[in-house]
Amino acid sequence: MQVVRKRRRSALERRKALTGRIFCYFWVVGFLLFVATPLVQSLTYAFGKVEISMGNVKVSPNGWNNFARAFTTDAEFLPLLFDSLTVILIDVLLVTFFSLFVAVMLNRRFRGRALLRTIFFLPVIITSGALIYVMQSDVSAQFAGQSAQAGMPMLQTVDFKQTLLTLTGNNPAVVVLTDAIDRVYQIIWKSGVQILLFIAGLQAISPALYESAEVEGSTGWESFWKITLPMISPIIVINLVYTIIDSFTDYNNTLLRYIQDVAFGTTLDYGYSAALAWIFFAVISVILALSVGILSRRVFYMND
Amino acid sequence: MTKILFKKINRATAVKRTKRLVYGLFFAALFCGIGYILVYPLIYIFTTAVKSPADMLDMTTVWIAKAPTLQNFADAWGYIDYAEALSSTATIAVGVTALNLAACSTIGYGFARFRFRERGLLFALVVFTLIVPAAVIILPQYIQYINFDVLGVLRATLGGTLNLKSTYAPFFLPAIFGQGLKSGLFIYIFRQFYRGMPVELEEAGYIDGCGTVRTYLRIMLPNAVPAFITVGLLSFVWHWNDVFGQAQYLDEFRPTLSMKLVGIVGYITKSSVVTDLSYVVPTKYAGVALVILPLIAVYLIGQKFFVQSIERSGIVG
Repeated sequence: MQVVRKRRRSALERRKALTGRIFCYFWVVGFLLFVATPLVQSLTYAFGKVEISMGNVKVSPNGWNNFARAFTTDAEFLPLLFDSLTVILIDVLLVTFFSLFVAVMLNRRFRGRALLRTIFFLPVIITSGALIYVMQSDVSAQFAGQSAQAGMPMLQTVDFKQTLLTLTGNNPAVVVLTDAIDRVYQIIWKSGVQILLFIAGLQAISPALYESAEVEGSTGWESFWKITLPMISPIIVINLVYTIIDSFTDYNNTLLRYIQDVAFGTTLDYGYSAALAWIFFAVISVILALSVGILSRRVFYMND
Repeated sequence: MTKILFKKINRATAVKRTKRLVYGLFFAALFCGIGYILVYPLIYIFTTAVKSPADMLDMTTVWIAKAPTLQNFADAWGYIDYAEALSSTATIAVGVTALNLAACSTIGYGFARFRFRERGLLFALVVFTLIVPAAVIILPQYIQYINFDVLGVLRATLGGTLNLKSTYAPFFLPAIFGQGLKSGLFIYIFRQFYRGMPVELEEAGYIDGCGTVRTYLRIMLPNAVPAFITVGLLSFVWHWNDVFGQAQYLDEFRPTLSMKLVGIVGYITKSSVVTDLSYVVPTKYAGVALVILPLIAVYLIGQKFFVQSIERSGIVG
């Protein structure tokens, strides 16, 4: 009896594994067809000298020279890399907290909820692609100028910042804090997708969980820590991953702009640009792997 | 005795009520502030779009035009060739989004629910494609699409390669296999959602004799509506606004709204006698408004389903 049952289950397991493989290898086929070749190609560019003429690309081998140049002779690359790393670290933390907070608030029942949700999705519409190109020169410049003056008391941190810095004698910890306050405007703008993902995740939590907790006498605060947070933890990970990727591929990322400039700007040095991009890419991969590795141990999945 | 008790309860509810009021006021103020920051560009777009040249020159007009005009919209319509560009953009946005939903949900389900040895490795590869900086891949991918070949098969059978420039293929083909713009993120979203669903739902399906595919189609799909709406919206918006990919492949074919929008100032100054900024700026914003209006409409419709979906999903515990 025991043996039969065991064999049966393993047959089902095997069949499920096969289905899963079919589902996932579909993606692998696409990867091999559309992404693998360009990636390998780009690696050969990184290790070579690239000359583009009349739509033809000529690559001659160049060894590790491009990479050596990035770390030894290029005066701009390393500072830009460290700058974007610190910015991203702070941004990721702030965006995650802010979007979770807003999503939890927006998930409660109150009048005007639908309107507010629509408003919080606006950044996703406005800060992508064409609109940002067209509007960057006008609206954001105007808005930034206005907030630095008297228009937005909420964003007016300049004087406060100065006082704080003099009081603490330019303590680096305080500098980080005031920089973060200066970026409030950006943080709000960057959180659109994350808020949307959190709301979708919150909606997937069964109301029955909250009801039974309430019957047992749990306060809202306790429900948040014991129900909302564990149930939403898979979405926290994905939001973290998204925020890191988003900051790295952001139009405003100075390092990325520098890389693009090397390739398509004045120098047209595509090989060196590819090498820089690959270094950058390796750094992101390490950061992502570390943060996801640490976090996914704490993530709660209902079924695992 | 009872009187004292009542008094106590009354005081408790009064405290609770004030507490709630204070909380309410605090959040109302907070959300008004944040809301203002977020709505500001939109107000700016629409108020500027209806301004006449006279309003632009009038220093006392800040927000509301004194002589509002819809002429700007009509002009912008012509400059960006709205009907033509809209159909091109809609083809890409709707088509790719549909393909993305079909492909990414299936692939995401595969990663979420089935165990096989190399799953972790493959999923790492999915995330890896997400973080490839555009600068790495732009040029080689472009070369690949203008000399398109499926593992040497086309060269062998047709004696040449395909030039997929000036077709929609560079958008549709990769999307079929979950390789489009940010498809990795969509696979990730679906995976996280499916992983969070109770496994009992599927077990019920298996016990009732459904196969894996039917269980997926009949049980999991209807329960994943929030994920579908989320991914659908994001995919739609990103393809609607994407400039770079579209400019690369559709430049000489059927220009899209986003491409037109990027060049709108050029179109206005080139084909109009009036090149004064007081005319160009409002017309430009009329163009911006025309481009984002469909997006806002789609979001409002999606939002409705978004709120409903929870009542329909029927998942308990």
